[in-house]
Amino acid sequence: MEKKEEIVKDEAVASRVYELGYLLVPTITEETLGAEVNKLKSMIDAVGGIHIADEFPKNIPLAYDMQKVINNKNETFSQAHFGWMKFEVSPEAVIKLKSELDRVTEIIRFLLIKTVRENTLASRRTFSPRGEYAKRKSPQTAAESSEAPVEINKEEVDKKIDEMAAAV
Amino acid sequence: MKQDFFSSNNIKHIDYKDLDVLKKFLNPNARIVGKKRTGVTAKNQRQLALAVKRARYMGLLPYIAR
Repeated sequence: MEKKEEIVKDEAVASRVYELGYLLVPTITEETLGAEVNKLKSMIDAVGGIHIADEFPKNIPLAYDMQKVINNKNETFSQAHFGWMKFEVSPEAVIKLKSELDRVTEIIRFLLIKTVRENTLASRRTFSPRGEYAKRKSPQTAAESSEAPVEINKEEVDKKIDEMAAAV
Repeated sequence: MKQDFFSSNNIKHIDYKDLDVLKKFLNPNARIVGKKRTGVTAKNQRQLALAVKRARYMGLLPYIAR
């Protein structure tokens, strides 16, 4: 039992890989977006975080409207700049980082999760389309596309054979 | 028997930002399709559910859709 406790303590001390996903208010312009991202990066650096990967925020339409109190006023947002960054930091420091991020007024929402160092995005690979987003070929068009070239080929082959026979 | 999508595509970690993948497992009401229908292993189905819920929180996927 004592040994197990020791192992748990060792794991707690080691640094972990985290990912911060965030939604920035859409009132931020493209020019000042870089400065906002740098502000977040410096917050991570301040708690001793080591940068691994990130994606620059992109303006996206939100799946549903979100509300946030800014200057004692309920603001509703239907779009936001979504970006993320992956970094390595100790579990104690990440709690400090979370409390600091709570105070940033430019962030509508953020998601701080434990993740792995490797790239977890799989969408760049090719998948066979399936489900409701799959495009089905109607049986007629499928039959036309498969049969039509065969017929043309036969005629061409016949013509070529005739030509060759005439030449001999 | 249906093959597990994530095992066959060699996906070890299901990311909440992978909307193309997550959308395959939502029905037209944007509800998560059960593991009986998806054929995904229990472990991956739990990861999938967590990823969908994270994507919903970040406004990438809807909670409900008509």
